[in-house]
Parts: sequence; C-alpha cells; structure tokens
Amino acid sequence: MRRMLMQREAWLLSQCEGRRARRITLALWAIAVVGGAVVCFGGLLLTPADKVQGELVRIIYVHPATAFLMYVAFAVTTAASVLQLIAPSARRGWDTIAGASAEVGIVFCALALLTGAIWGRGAWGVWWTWDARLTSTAVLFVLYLGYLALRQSNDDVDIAAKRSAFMAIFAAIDIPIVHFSVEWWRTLHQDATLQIGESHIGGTQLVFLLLSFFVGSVLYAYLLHLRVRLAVLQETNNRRAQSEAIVKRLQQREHAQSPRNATQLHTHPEGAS
Amino acid sequence: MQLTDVWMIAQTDLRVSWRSRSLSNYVVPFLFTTLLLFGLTLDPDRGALERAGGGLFWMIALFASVLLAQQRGFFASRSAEMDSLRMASVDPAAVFLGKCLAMIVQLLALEALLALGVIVFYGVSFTSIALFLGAMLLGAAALSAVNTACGFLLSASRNANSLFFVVFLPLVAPVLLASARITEVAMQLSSDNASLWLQLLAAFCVAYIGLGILVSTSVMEE
Repeated sequence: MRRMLMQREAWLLSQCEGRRARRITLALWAIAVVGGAVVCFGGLLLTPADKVQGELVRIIYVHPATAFLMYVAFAVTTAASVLQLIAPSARRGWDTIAGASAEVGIVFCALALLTGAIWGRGAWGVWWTWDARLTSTAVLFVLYLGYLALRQSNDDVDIAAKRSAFMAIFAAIDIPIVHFSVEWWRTLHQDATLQIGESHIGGTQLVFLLLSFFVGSVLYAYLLHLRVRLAVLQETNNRRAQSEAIVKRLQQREHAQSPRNATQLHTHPEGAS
Repeated sequence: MQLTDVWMIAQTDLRVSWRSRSLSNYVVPFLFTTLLLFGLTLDPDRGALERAGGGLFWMIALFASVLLAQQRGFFASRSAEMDSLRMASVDPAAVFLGKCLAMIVQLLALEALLALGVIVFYGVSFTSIALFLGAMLLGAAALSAVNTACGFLLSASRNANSLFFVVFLPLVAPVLLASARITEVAMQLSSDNASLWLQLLAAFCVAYIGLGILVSTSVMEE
C-alpha cells in the first residue's frame, strides 16, 4: 500500500515538472477558456429565462459548479492528507497536493459565497441571511483559512505537513454538515437542483448546467496543476539556493585554509594593530 | 493506555490550576464581566436576553474555554511539561485524555456558575434540567477535546496564541450550534428535536476525541 502511494506520488510530481507539465497546463487552460466562453454564450443567450426567477436563473451556470468544486477541492485535500499520514515517506508530494487543493478550494468557496449572495439579493432581497447552508459554508471558508495559516506556522516542513494533515481531517468533519444542512434544517436555501435519478431542470438549461460542471472541473484541474507546479519549482529553487550557499561557504573555507591566505589572516591582525 | 495515567495527568492539571488560582482569579471574573456586558449591550429590559440566553450561555462558555487554554499555556511553546511527559514515556493517548478530563471538570464547574448567572441576570428558566445537563456535559467534552487537540497541534508553532483563535473557533462551530439548540429546547424557546441534536453532539464528541488521540500520539512522537 505504502509503496503504491509512493509510486503514485512520484508519478503525480513527474506530471508537474518539465516541458510536459507546461503542455498539460496549457491544454487545461485552453479547454477552460474555450469551455468558459461556450458556457457564457449558452447560459446568457441560448437558454431561456425562468418563469419564476426570470433572468436571475442564469446564476446556475456559475454558482452550483463553484460549490461543487469547493467540495471536490476540500475532498482532495482530505484524501491527500490521509494518504500522507499513511505513507510518511511520500509526504512531500501528498502534502503539496493537499495544500494546493485547499488554496483552490478556498477560491471556489469564496466564489460560491459571492455568487450565492448575488443570487440571494435578487431572490430573497438580502445579500446575506442566517441560512444553515450559507452559515456552514462561511464556517468552512474560515476553517480552511485556519488550515492554510497552520501550514505556515512551523519551520520544520515535515512537522507542518503532519499537523496540517490532521487539521484537514478535523475540517473535513464540517463538509457533510454543509452538504446535508438543507435536508437537516428547514432553511431558505433550496434543495439540490441535480439529483441522481431525478432532476428539476431539462433541455438546454440542463446541457449548459452540466457543461458548466465540466468546465469548472477543468478549471480546478488547471489551477491545481499550476499551483503544484509552482510549489515544485519553489522547492527546486530553494534546494538550488541551499546547494549554492553550501558550495560558496565551502569555497570561502577552502580559501581561508589555503597557506597563503592563512598567513595573511595570521599577519593581518598585527598589521592592523 | 492505563486509566491511572489518565487520572494522574488530570489530577496534576487540576492541582496546578487550583494552586495558581487561575479559575477564581481570572476565569470567573471574566465570566461575570462578560455576562454583564452582554446584558448591557443587548437589551437591559431582558426581552432579547431571554430569547438569546442559550446562545449567549455557550458563547461565554467558549470564551471561558479559550481563557482556560491560555492559562494552561500548553500551546505557547515546546513546553518543558511536554518534554518531561515524553521522557517519562507516558502514553500520549493518556496525556490527551487526562488533559481533556481536567478541562471538562473545570468547564463543567464554570458552566454551573454560568447557568446560575443566566438565570439570575437574564431571567431564563430551564424546564428540562436533564436535557440541559446532557448539553452541558457533551458540550464541555467536545469543547475540551478540540481545545486540547489544538493545544497539541499548535505546540512549538510560530504565533501559536493568535493562531489558536483561527483554528479553534471555526472547529467548534458545530458544537456551539448543537449545544445552543439543545439549551434552547431545555429552556422551551424552541421546539426542535433535541434527541437529534444530542446525537449530533455525541457524534462530534467521539470524532473529536478520537482525532485528538491521533494528534497527541503523532505530536508527542515528533
């Protein structure tokens, strides 16, 4: 199991290094941009307005996808955190993925809150209400801010990784509460629009809603890949800087220990006095 | 893990707290002040205070638990206490449970005082004492478990004191929510299904204590 996790970690990191990684990033970016343009065009011009909500319904091509990807991102953070605790020797890679996914997840969480507030202003007449899902999503947002703060709080990379992994597991307990809050409590927020086996919408609306989920997923993959690449480059850079500093220090030492310089060093204090 | 170890750690923590008089000198005056300030700022004619009594009770209990953690100073640095426990090869799970137990005892004492406070100052009345006692016990256990786990997570971290609030407060949000709802039912301010909230609170307690044991074991092995 641990060996498999190490192999997976090595494979994942190899996808984030070199020329191939650049091509993957570019491909994901291109799909996200083109797909985003298609969703915007379809969502704004091709799909009909709702009988009850009117033009306000067009938020469904953004809001559900961002909320869904928030769950995906935080689930990836939790999974990667569990994996790094199971296989400490593959900690570096899984921890990088966990941290990157949490950062992307926070962006999607903020977007979900923002788009939800815009919709809420039109539908409910207020930007914010103490609805169970809104409140629990806001708590999730601050929980992962705490997670990111904890990641920066220790100089020892291994200790920071291990502790933040536990924090991610603690935070994950809140995810089911957010998701099931609309079922557990009678609140303003509507039930899920898309459910397995039944759906409240159809036609072009359903097509572009599903497309928004696909494009959002590609965008998530792009951002995650980019962030992991950045972390890998940062680490390589740090390691290079560290090696250069060691070499420089050794050269200085050698220079100081050479007989000529040793004499100079020996005689210099006398000259100064 | 031996129960005697758990009890020994709890006893030591309680003795330290008793000798330092931290509860009576700092935490109880803080509780009293907060009770008064909430009363002054919300509604001196008691109307809003009675309605919000359950939530306020748990907010003050939460602040008290933060103050208790600060008095304990467990997360401030890599403490000599933790090093000596490591040297004595005490089971980390026993350390976690002992510290948690000591905090539960202190929090329960504070909650009892607080209950008296909200009855006298806010004019609330409890119709179901058993339900309220259940909320007090489970709420104190969950708060203590998260508090102690955060103490371990943040030990020897930079800015641990400030970071504690960022990490601890969001984690206990579900606990606060469930405890406040049960207290409202016990005060007949809400008709929610209290047994469901109690189950949720108990589930959180078990999850947080389990995770806390894992965290303490991992941190003490560093």
